[in-house]
Amino acid sequence: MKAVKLSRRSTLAGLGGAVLAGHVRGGLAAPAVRQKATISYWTWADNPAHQKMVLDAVEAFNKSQGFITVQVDATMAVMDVVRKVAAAFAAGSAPDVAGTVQTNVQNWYDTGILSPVDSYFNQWEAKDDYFPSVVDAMHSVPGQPVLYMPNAILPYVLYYRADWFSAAGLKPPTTYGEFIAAAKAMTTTDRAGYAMRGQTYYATQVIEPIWGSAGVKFADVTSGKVDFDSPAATSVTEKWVGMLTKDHSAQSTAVTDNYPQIFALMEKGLAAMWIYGTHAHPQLLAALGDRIQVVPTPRAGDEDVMLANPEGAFIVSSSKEKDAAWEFLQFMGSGDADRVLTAKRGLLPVRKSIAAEPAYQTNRFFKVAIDAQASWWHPPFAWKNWTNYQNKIAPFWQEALRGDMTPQAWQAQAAKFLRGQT
Amino acid sequence: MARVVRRVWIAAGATAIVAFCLAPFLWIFIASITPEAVPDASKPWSSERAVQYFPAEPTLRNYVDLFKDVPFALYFRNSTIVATGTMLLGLVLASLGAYGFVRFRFVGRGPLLTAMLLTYMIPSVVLLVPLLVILRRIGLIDTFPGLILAESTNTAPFVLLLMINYFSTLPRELEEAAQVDGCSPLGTLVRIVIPLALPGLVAGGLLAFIMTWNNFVFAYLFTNTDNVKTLPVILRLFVLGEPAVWGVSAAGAILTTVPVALLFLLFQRMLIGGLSAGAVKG
Repeated sequence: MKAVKLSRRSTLAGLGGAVLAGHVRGGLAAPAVRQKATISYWTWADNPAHQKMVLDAVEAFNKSQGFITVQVDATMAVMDVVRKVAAAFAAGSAPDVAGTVQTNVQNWYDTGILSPVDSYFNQWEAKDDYFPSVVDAMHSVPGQPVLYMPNAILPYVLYYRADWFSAAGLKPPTTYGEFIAAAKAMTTTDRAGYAMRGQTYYATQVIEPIWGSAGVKFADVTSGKVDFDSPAATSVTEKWVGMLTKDHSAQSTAVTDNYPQIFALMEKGLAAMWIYGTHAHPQLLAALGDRIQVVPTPRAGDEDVMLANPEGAFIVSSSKEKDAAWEFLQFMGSGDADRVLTAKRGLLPVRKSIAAEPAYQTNRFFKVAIDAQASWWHPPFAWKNWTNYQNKIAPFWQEALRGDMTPQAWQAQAAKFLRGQT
Repeated sequence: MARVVRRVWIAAGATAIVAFCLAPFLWIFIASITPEAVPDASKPWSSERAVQYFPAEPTLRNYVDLFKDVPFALYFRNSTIVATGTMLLGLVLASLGAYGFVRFRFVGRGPLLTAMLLTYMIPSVVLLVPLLVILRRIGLIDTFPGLILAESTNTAPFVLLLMINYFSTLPRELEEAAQVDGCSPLGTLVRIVIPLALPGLVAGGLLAFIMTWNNFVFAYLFTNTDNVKTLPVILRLFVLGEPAVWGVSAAGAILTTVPVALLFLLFQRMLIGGLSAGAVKG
């Protein structure tokens, strides 16, 4: 064997390579920022436990390297983040990074508050690890740059009481017709077949995948066409509202019930089914154990559609430390930080390698959603009048549930909101 | 006999009003000592959090969890500092300003007073961005002085109006006598007027304290770290949080309300005297 002669140059090169390799972990690129920087990060917390997760993740980032310090404010609800960032941007005191849900991403971009991360993301070796549907969501509208960095996704599934279904000799529904029939079959004097939400803001969210599966586009961002008052959309709404007004398979208090009431219905064994996000499973699992199971949301047409809303953070356009902000976003979407922000909250990671880990694959609530990732979908939040519809439709929905408004009239009103006609 | 009947009716009416006012607090207190939902796999349904007029097993666990899960003590301290600072600043400014308006005639007095009244009519929401710009430029965002200054824009005009009304009821003769004895205007204010106006100052100070204690918008917008955030900010997180933690939220609400309620009890006589001064001109 020929002896290797080490020169000073080759030794230094080898040491440099070893140091570089040590920094490349979990798909992270080598850190770009090598001077002191302090950035601010404003995001929301669903509850004190979530707040602690965010604070712990940020502290982990601060400790993982000695150059960037992130100061975090996570003492807000989602909409409070929107208001605070907008006001602060107007006053010239916006943070460097802000948390966001998919719903608001296009608004942030349209108002110039969001700085796209295309140039960073496209050079990142981990970019191919993201689920394709998530990458589409990151663009918000096809043809736009990559706008933000999701670190979690919230899929919506159908929770059902497996013990009751088994006792009735029923399989969990896969189609919308089976779902409506199952709700009727599960209804007794002591329980409702389906726990329906009527209160208030965005109560129709859980029906969106069913409309989507019926071929309803809501609004086409490219063509500008709104089809939310189509016969297909109206048919879905008629059957849904009919669960309360005709079949009486939804709880009688549906008009004013909100999440706390519906959680209580499910936990107390007063309802058999509920469509909601996977983040509800820890509480339901603690209350019901093996009796609570999940399947994908039922389809009204031939296509499976699972509502799945990504969430994450974006770089604010006024930030003077965009490189440092990107390095922080990479960290929050990788490794232990992402595991803390997803598994413990009941959300899924947006990266295939993390979703393949046992913590997600052995959890039946996650597994159902991961196996359906090809059908992950979200409504056209980027549509110019989506916020107009989402913010105004709530009281009309309650009127429809009361029977004071026909489903057809509700559908027409909703379509008007989407068209910006009112 | 008629007098007895009348007294009974008055007592009954007063009891009904007190019960109506206290019932929500009693309900929150009961919620704060009710255990949170406890899963029990042996039962078909497990969350025993039905409506209870008094819990079978009252607990202080929610209060413990409140301090364990969030830095509630830190927020409490911050609220105390901000509310006290705003109250003191407001009282100083209002005392000096009100005395000047009531006792001195100077050029522009009328328009200045009108301007003060008009600015008080501006909703505080309109001032959010301008205040944010000012605080950013002077480097006071996320600081106690910054938040106190911002809160004072809300409370100082109110206390000023209150003190103008109160000072105008005080007899001039006492001040004139003091000035005859060689007391300066400032000395007259400090030694004669302020002690006489104590009920009004207590009323104004208390109201400024409460307005600041309960203010959410300024605290949420002008603070970014736990070192300065106040109680309304963290309570909002409980209210909008998911899943809801009713017992802990109620415990937080009780602890937030108690200091203000105690202040009211301690100073209620002075508060009533201060607020009603000037109502009847003798």
